[in-house]
Amino acid sequence: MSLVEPHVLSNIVVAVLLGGAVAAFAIARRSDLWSQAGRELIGRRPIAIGAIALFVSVAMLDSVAWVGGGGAAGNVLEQSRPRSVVDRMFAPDFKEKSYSAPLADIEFYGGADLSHPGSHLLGTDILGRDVLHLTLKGARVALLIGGLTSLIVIPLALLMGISAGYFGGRIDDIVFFVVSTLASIPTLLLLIALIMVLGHGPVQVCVAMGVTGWVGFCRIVRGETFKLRELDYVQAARALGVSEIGIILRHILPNLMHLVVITFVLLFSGLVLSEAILAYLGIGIDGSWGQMIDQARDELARDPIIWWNLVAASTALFALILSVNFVGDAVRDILDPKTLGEGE
Amino acid sequence: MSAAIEGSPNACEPLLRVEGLRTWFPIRAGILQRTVGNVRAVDNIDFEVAAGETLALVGESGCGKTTVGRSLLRLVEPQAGRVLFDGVDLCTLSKRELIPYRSDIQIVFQDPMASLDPRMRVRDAIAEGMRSFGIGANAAERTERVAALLERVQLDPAWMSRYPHEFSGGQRQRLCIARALAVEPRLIVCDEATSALDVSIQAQILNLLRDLQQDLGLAYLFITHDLGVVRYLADRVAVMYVGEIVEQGPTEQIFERPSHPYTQGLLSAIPSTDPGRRGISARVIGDVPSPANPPDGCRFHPRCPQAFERCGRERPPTYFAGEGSSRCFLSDPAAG
Repeated sequence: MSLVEPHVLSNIVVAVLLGGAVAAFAIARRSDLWSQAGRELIGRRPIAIGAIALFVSVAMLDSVAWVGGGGAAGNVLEQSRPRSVVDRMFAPDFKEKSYSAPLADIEFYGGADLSHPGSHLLGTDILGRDVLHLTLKGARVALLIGGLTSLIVIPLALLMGISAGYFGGRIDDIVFFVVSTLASIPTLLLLIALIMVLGHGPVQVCVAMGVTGWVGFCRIVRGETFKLRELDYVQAARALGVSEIGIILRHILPNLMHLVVITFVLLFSGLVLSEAILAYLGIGIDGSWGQMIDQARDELARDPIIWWNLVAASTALFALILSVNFVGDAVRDILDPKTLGEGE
Repeated sequence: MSAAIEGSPNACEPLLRVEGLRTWFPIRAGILQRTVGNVRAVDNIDFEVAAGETLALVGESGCGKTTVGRSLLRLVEPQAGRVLFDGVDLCTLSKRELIPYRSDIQIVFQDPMASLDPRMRVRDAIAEGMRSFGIGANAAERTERVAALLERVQLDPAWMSRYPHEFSGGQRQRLCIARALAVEPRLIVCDEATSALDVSIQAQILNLLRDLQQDLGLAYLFITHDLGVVRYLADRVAVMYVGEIVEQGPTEQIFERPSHPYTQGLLSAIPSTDPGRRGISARVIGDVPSPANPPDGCRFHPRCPQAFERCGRERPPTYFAGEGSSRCFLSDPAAG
């Protein structure tokens, strides 16, 4: 038994994220630039933002879990398992024996009566689990992949890119050597190797994707820092006796923030999609949409084909990626200093 | 070299004395990145600026005048020479030791759009230097000082919580001046500070600089290619050509009796309002030679209308005459 139960940790993470979001909102409201950008973003892409908000709230609700409160009667194992808010929206024994079509009254094979006839909106999978339930739970995995990996990639790339671009010389040589070396190894091979070494859990997969994913952003940060370092306002700050760390924190980093936001959004959809590829190779994360799509390989070969599992997972994935990309494009337009009307 | 002290009757030691300053940028090539040559941006120059005085540094684009300004502040590192500020050689100090001296010399840049951080409020930008030098006990006191500085540069103190993009070019240049003044400097390097502005705005900024000099006793190193501005503002002029100072002297003397052919050429390029003098052909022909590969002998001789055989062979030394100096064989007092 680990020090903290996984579901308690998950609850803490949700609380921290909510706190962070509130703090970020409060800070952004103080800054004219960010609050103006935020208003414009909501005005331009209301539907995509709404969709993302829906995915995020489902993932959050699925991350808040506790033990007890009516499991399957008499089943001790089921009762001691923590269940999330999303789990609690479905009955504890909301299961069938095997496949059943959406809203069907009988099983797909054999035609036996269902225990919950007509109530599985998206049918059930091979183990008789409700597909709608699985799809909703997939949102948490998708956001975990995108979010946690970005949390690894962005700080790492910022640290390496800024030190290379700002200090130059030997540090630049070393960072660029690492970047070039990593970039020359085929990403998928490196990913597979890392997951073999680290293990299969969601956090391990995120770490592996983070280690392979920071290189591109690091290059962008290095180049941008190189440009910013020579700008007159950085030179003026140096003449004003501001320390190197002060210059990086007060002048370089704030002027890289728009890149961070843009990269986060673009990275995010790329990561969720690449998890689907990993799932296809059998090294994905349990409960992801990628895994549901992977399962459909066999299901599509059956006659008649079983389509609802694939359609549910793909639609959810598609909706998330599309919304994120829409928002990403809008964010890029809005945060580009040229279109915001600052600078020339 | 004899320390000729011009224009500062009250002090024997000038505020700033630059001796043999040399800033070369290495040209690297090949796999091993070996230095195959140097861009001699600033090559062995000497000059002085007295307290409360304005020295104008003029020359064509690419002659190294901007590099001189940045070398003084060690925004680029000079290779050799001494920068004596109040008797302290700034070039020998470590970066840490240099910090307390940084408040004495400030810089105002050419491009008012690039010299203010677009993501920093005006108040924070101006207070930044105060914070690093511990001027003003707390945030409230610093804000008060920012308000006073904005008033000083004729801007409304109520604008201090705005962002730079809300200001016009001339207003931004005032902000840059206020930022420099915030740390109570004694010398301000104005690097083409008015070149990017409209003529009417330029005049306002020049008047502001002049008023500040009178009130605060500031010294300016005014780097420009605009000779009209020089005549208006400068006490003395140093003319630069391909990394060297070719002529130096009081403004009046440089404009009325220039002794170096390059200075004569520069002055003849000023458009004249006198119809009788219109249409004088440019006396300096051709392009500026590359500072990576300057000509032998006098650097100006390939373009000089008065060049003779010796000019291509020998480099002329600096000849001193009265309050000025010139780097041309024609100024050799021995030759008459």
